[in-house]
Amino acid sequence: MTTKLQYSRMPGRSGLVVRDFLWMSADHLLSVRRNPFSESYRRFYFADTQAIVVTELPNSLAPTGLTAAVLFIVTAAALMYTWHPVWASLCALLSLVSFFVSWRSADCACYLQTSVSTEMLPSLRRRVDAAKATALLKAEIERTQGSVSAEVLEMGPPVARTARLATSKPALRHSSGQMHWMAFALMIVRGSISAISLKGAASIPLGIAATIVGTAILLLLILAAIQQRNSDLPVGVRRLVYVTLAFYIASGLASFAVSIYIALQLGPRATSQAMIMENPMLKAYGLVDLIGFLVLGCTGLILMWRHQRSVRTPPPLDLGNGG
Amino acid sequence: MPLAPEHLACSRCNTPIPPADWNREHAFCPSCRAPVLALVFPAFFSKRGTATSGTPVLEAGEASCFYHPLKRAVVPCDRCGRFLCALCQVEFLGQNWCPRCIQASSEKGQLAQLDPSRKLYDNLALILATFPALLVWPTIITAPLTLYVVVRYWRAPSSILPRTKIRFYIAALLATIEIGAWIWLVLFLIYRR
Ligand SMILES: [Zn+2]
Ligand SMILES: [Zn+2]
Ligand SMILES: [Zn+2]
Repeated sequence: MTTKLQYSRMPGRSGLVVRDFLWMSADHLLSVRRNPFSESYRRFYFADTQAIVVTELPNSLAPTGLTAAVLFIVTAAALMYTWHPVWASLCALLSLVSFFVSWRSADCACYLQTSVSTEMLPSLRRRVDAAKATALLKAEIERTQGSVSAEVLEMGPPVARTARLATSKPALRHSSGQMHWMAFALMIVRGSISAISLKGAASIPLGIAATIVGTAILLLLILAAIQQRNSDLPVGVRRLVYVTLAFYIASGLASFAVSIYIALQLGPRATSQAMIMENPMLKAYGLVDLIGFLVLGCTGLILMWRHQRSVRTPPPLDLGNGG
Repeated sequence: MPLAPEHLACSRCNTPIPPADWNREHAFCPSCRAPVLALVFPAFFSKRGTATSGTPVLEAGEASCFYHPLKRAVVPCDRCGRFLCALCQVEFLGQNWCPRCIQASSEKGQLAQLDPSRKLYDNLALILATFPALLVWPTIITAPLTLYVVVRYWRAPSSILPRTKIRFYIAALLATIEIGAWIWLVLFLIYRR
């Protein structure tokens, strides 16, 4: 016997690879967290819901993102004017990305309280979505429970209540950060390969090795980004993973742009490999790539090493003899 | 300062929101001045219902609970028909179920109402059919693997949310094309001369 429930979609979403949604059925709210391979569910029954708190947060990312978007657009226009179509389109793309980031960044937080826990609803991170969703939820919950009368509200919070689990942030998982270690170490390998190529020893096998190492790093970074959510890894490491992913995408786009640029510039004259390899644009790109990989990889390894050391040595016991 | 659990707190600074501001639009956090909307419902004020422990003890001539022979049965299970006492009776989807039926159903993955998670095999198949194709050569392994996943998990329980089988269809189509391309390549290499 399989019972299919009727669910309807609620406003709001968050995340790119691991995404959060809310769905509503006749008697409960379903909070869905979906990664590419599975979905996990949390159910909040309307009859058990005690309170919903929506707090508007200052959106610090939006002004920065908008400024960046405007700057990129101006740069793109200038590049277009000086007839650098490839770089202009790259800047236009970055402007779109910045605009999207500022448009989608969180500007509120929504918590749902039941008798046993207080849970954040991650998909309600935009005020517009939160307002729509809470209106729907309020209607459903009040249909189940009725509404609180003015007298009850005046009495204030119930005093003697049965013991409840304390409001707590979700417990942090311990993570050894294996993916992070491997990714950062491979990035140094990848940087070294770039360095050898740049020294003029570029060859087909070296190119293949760079591609394989590069793919492995990308996969490890994606896994690391998934694994590090709600883990005890330091903020620095987690941010670095996102920065590195961004660098990766930028590097990929740049390599694409450079190869098109070279193809346009040399055209049918590009007969010898040496001619392509000696191109100053390619050299510059290789240098930026090399420095990027080495700096990000080293920073990552240092941060991971510091994290591991801090986990292994417990903090000194404060016995309160200081005064 | 530990926060009393019967308070509603501002999510930004954790300061309790005064009851006067509950269920009020355009309220502000008393500490950080962030606009706050705190909706409270009757469940917040009601004590949790105490468990019904006063189950009547069985008297002569009465039906007894299947799981507790000394307790009086109050309802039959709507799935298996066993008689249940007030402790064993679980109200579920507007029916009375016994704990064993609920456990059995949820272990078989049939109960969309209880599952904490579901695997998305259709996404797995689609990812197997697309991403390795960017590097071309891994498809010699991943294309047959995709077909295996499609066949093996076609009927496996998927998301409890509305979801079509379109990803399975696309994955199977792509995998078939990839396998076809490999066969064509092999034949081409053999009969080239
Ligand atoms: Zn506050
Ligand atoms: Zn039963
Ligand atoms: Zn019983």
